[in-house]
Amino acid sequence: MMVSANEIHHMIRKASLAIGFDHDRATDIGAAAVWLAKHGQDGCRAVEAMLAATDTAFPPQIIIDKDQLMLASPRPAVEGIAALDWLIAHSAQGSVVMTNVAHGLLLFGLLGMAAGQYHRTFQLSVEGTDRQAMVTRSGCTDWTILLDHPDQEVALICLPPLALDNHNKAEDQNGHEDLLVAKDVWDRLAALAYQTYVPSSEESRLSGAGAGLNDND
Amino acid sequence: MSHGAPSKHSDLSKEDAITPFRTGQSACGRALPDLRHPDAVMTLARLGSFFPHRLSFMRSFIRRIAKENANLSMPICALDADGFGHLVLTLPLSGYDYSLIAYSRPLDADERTDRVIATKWDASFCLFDGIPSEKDITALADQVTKQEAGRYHHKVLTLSRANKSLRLFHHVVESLASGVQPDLQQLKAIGYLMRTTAVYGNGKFGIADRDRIADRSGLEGPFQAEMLTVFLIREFTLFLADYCARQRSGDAAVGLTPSYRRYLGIGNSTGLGMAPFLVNHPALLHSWIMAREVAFSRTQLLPAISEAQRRRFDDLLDRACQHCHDWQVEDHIQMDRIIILRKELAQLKADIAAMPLNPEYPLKDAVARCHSYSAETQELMVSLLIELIPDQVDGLADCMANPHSPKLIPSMTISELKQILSEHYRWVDEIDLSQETSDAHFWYTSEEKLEPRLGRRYEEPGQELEMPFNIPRYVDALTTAIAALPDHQIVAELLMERPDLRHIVRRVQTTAIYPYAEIRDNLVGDACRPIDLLRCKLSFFGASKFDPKSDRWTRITLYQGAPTAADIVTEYASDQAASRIAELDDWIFALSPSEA
Repeated sequence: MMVSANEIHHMIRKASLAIGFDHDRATDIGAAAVWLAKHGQDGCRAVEAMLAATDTAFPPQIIIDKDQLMLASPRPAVEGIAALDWLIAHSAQGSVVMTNVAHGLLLFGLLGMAAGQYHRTFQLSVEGTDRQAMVTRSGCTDWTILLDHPDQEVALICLPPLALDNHNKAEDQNGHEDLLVAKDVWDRLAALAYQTYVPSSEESRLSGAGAGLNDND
Repeated sequence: MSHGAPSKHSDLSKEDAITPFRTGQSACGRALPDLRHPDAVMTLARLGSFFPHRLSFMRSFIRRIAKENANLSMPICALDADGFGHLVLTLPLSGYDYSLIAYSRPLDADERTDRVIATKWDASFCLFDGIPSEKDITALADQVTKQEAGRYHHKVLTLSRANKSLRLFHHVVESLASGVQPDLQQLKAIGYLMRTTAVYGNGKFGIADRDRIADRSGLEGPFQAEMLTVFLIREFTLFLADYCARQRSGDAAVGLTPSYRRYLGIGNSTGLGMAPFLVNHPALLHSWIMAREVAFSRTQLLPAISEAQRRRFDDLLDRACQHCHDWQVEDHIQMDRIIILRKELAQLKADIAAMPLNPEYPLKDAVARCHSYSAETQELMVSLLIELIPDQVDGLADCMANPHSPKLIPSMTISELKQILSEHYRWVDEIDLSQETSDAHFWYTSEEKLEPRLGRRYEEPGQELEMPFNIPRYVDALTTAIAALPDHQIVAELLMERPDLRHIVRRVQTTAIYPYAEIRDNLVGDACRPIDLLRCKLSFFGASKFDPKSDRWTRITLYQGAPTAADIVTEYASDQAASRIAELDDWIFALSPSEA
């Protein structure tokens, strides 16, 4: 089904709230899903899978050694956001080293969103190989890098924006007139989002706009 | 004091700090003058006293179409003898065509309700990007008439619906069909032929995202697509009344006289749905308030005014007095305020008659004379004064769309964070958080059409699902959490330990950049009157004649007194363009017409 970016954002935000994420993280997860969708990736499915599996407990296992932050089996929406904050604050020398990143596509979404907000480029490098991916606000050069190397250490660093990162809003949606979401995924997200609504009562209904007047005047 | 000065924080770029004031051709690039302090402006009582002004979005919209001499057309009219069917109104704007597709349907009296929970309406509308084909119109008919229950695509820019004011609509049609103009008193008592109950934009139900049109000339300002929609709905209602009269009496019918057409606006019932927007878009709110405050401050810096400006001041004051005299509401709180407003305006006029404004800084003198008056009178004066310096004000309209989302500054030190709290959140100290009255309410989304509502925390279920509007408590939690932390520690480290504080840290940091971003009042306190939030937002739309029906919803009129499409397309000599636009733009404090 076709949906708008705003619908994705709010649906994901509410579904994340229903799972137990606080408002701040839920908002960022929603924005990450939109960024992924606009860049041709199935951000909704990635988030829905994460929400189905995630444990939002915090704090995670984070080890900081001088300019390096190490994460084992990080969850992008939990430790990932904390690590990103740390990396942006230490963007001159800092690096984040991760292994076994779950729901890696969502991490790309968070990186892409941060790249746009902070005018940065993020570089991921697989230890012991020459495989690298660059995430800018305009996209990612290698979407499968985390998937292809699940057990190896991946180093993440923050760089100035690429000179060639000529952001063009019109290209954001990669030619898609509307964003596509699988209906089964959307329905599951909607079922979660529904849990954030308060059942209506007669008292609450009577305080809304237009209540209590003769509308045939 | 200059609240727009770039921050000292290293992560804050100049662009961030001055975002509301883009450099370029507009007046916005000027150095900022002293502004009213956010502690004084951003209270509910003050925001709830705002009046429409020349930076209001309807005003900007009318100025634009007047400058462009935009010519409304009706490419399709497929209405039956009773005015049911569909029609299309198309308006060119800055090189693009936009079309209102209006579907008019019969509606039983027992189905007519202004509630957002309604499922049927007298008329349903969408704003279409371009000129729709018959296929488009047919395909959209089943969706648009269902409103929220329909699904849409990116060619649909907004969605809306309206119900007739039966009394006035029938009276107008019967009068016109009888060859006479309607009774002016009835026109004045109601002021509109139809009232809308919602105008949806920005991606709702699959329609185009705001991003898609945000850079498009003509729609780049806030809510311009929505303002265009309501303008066209007003045209639809005026056409429909004339059409129905003609269907009934043929050539014996007369058309509604131009002064009456201009007086009739579009009614609207607005509830709590508007309020969360202001809280959830702090950077945008800042840009709106900042533009208005900069405009106002420029009036205070004028060392002298011309004779023409002095006459204009007097004219506008007279008009404001008459406008407020015409403003009658049933709500006793608002009516009491209007009565005080009338008295104070009369007193001000008498003061100025007895002792004219100082020749030096006369507009500062005008404000000084309102010093002891109510917030309503003071804010009316803000709207009035900025009318006097259009050349210094109108460019600010280009600064009111803020595309920036709040972002965390993780490198900020605890010391800097404490400084911001001390500077911008002193108002929280005045709230006794140990009292239940401090968080008596909670805001939530109802499962009923996802309508935002306000519940009583200690009496109603659902507080665990509340929207994050309990700012004083979050600020208190943050203040407590960082009290003992070392000054040099950075925010990123704090948030590893306390991820729950990330939301309020980001909000506090945003307020440092955008000082008018935060409503400096308790939105969940027992004394909170949501109607104040509604009035603030509606004043930026340009709505007038606020008519509160409770502390949670209000009726208003949109475009009352504004030029109609027919007024805008007039022949004029090129050297008269500026005066013509000024004349078309002069509809603040709209007055009722004289008897036709």
